Amino acid sequence: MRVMLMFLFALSLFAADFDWVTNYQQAINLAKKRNKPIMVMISQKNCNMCEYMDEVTFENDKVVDFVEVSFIPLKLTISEAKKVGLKAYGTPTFYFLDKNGKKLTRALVGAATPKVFLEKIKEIKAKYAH
Amino acid sequence: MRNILALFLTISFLFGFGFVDESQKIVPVEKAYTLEAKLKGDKIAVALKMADGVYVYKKELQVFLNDKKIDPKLPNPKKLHGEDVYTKELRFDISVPQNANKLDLRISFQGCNEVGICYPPQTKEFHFKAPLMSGQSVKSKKISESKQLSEEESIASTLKHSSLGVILLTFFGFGLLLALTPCVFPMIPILSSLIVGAKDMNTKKAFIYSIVYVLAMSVAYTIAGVLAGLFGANLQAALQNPIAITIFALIFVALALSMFGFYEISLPASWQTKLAKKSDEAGSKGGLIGVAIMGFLSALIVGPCVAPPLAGALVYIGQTGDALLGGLALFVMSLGMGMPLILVGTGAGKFMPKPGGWMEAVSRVFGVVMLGVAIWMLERILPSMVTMLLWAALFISSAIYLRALEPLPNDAKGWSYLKKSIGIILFIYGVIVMVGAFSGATSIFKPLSGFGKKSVIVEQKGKLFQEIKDLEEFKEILQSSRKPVMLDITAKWCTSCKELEEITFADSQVRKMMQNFMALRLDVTDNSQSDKEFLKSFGLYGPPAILFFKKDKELKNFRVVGYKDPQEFLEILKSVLEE
Repeated sequence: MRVMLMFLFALSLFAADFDWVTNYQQAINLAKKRNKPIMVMISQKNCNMCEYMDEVTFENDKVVDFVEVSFIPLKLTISEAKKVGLKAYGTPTFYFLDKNGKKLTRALVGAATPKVFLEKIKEIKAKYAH
Repeated sequence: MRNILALFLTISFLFGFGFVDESQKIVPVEKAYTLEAKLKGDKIAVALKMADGVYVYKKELQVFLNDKKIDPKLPNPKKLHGEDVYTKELRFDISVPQNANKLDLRISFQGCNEVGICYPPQTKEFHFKAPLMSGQSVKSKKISESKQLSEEESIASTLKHSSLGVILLTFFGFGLLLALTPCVFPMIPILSSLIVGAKDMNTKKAFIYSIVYVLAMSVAYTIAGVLAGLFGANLQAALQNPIAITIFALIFVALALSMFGFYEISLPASWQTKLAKKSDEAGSKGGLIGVAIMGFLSALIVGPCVAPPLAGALVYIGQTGDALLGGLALFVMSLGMGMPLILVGTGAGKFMPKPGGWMEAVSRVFGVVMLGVAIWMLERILPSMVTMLLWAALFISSAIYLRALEPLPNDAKGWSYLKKSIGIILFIYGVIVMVGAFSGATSIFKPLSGFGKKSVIVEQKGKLFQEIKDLEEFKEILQSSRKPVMLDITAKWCTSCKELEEITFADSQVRKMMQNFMALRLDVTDNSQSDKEFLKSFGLYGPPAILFFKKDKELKNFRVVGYKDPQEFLEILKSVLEE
């Protein structure tokens, strides 16, 4: 019973959120290790569209599960992103990179509902999966 | 907790049709907001116009007048997703203080677009001259707190915030200042020799020659500027690679030899006659083309002498991709740089007495100077011992040329004595430099510095910097270092780096202070792919550059581009530590 509870608890932790990597190099290292593409979210302070993503879209179980399984999630500020060659003229902006840091798609700009976001990342996964 | 539900509903509706892709045009920030400020009597009227669906946060709107934050009376905001915002148009007035003699207005704001994107914070500056009010006493100028922007950044920000006229004027000024640096010196003998070398020289012609030379030089810079805008490439390194330097040095040697009268450099006769036919002033056009070519080449040689304004302009152009403005700014800057050249050049023609035997002597002097320029350029790629020996050879052979070692004839006049004295001095100096070269000295101005202390310095130098190879290694060290990190980017061909190395980093106080830093060094001599990436990731165009980092963030204000003497550098180190 206790084991079961712990399992449920762990599962709920797992499903509730995923941890954003906040360092580009670390994300590349992880991507290489786990052989997964990177999902970059460029974010900033005072951005209610980013908050929407964090508090709604990235709280959605389906989105969370899919991101967790398919991508290394990396969150950068505009200036951090610029240093690694990712431009953003607003936030949130999403980029998808392969494990060498090469862009897989053009930037996706703006917030999206869980449904729309999930469709889009599934599409990207399908197109660029190995 | 923000009103996420409201946001949710709006966005769900807006995003019914799908994600915003970059192909779908979202209003870029420059078009999303139009900010204007006008001085009207004792008020400044501010108007912020926003495109459809764009809004600005009330709490992120900040107004600074003469560097003091002020709170102007704002209209009532709207509620949107639980936030106080303004849409469409925001107008407010700022009252002007009575005693101000200048008004520097800075407004920063941030906001979003309903389509689902938030813009980065924006800042705009306005500068007004305060209206003169009668009976107003002139307040003493308050020295504003000096903002320690790095040279490069401050120049780049000038470009960003000013109107076209101001930009161009500023760059003309930078150019004039640049003309006072040693970077431009090599151009003076080149131009003068072109003018002295031409036939039938008069003031008007000398003036035209100078103008053509300067214009050609400006064109070269403009092209560099535009290319930087288009490619953001490491131009400096491209122009500084050993092959290019060798070619330029050879050109100078060839020119010098022609000055000594070994041969004459001119366009092929067939070209000359063709040009002569088309031109009223027969022959002179051919000369002008030569002058233009020399002007163009000179710019390539002198340009990479990393002058911060040039680097600043290139950084800006590289960042914005505004090739037109960048090109224009560089053109004006090089015109400024050329002003003294025009004066000198015109003077060279004017003060020329009738041609005669003395002209040959002048040409030879220029020949020697040009050989000197060639050696100076080779210093970037050859070991200092070789260049020291070249200098020694130049001094000694000039002395022989002046017949320093031959006895004076019995009927010698004052002039011959002077010539012989100069010759002997050159000879002795040449010998000293030659001895110095073998003793390990690296500068012709301190030829005997090699005696005594050299070995100690070499030993200390080894410990001063830790060499790094690439960005990855750098980032690892950056994250693990507890001390602030100082990164020196250098290359063997970079003369300012050598000065830094030999003067600044050799200073005992600087060395002591540097112990508080994790000092890293990246050598970009090879200009390899990883070097290029490294430079690009910091928006640098090439060495010398010294960057400071604290807690893996760069302290951009303290970025050093170009030579700093020990005292200046010490100040910078101190302020980095205190920051």
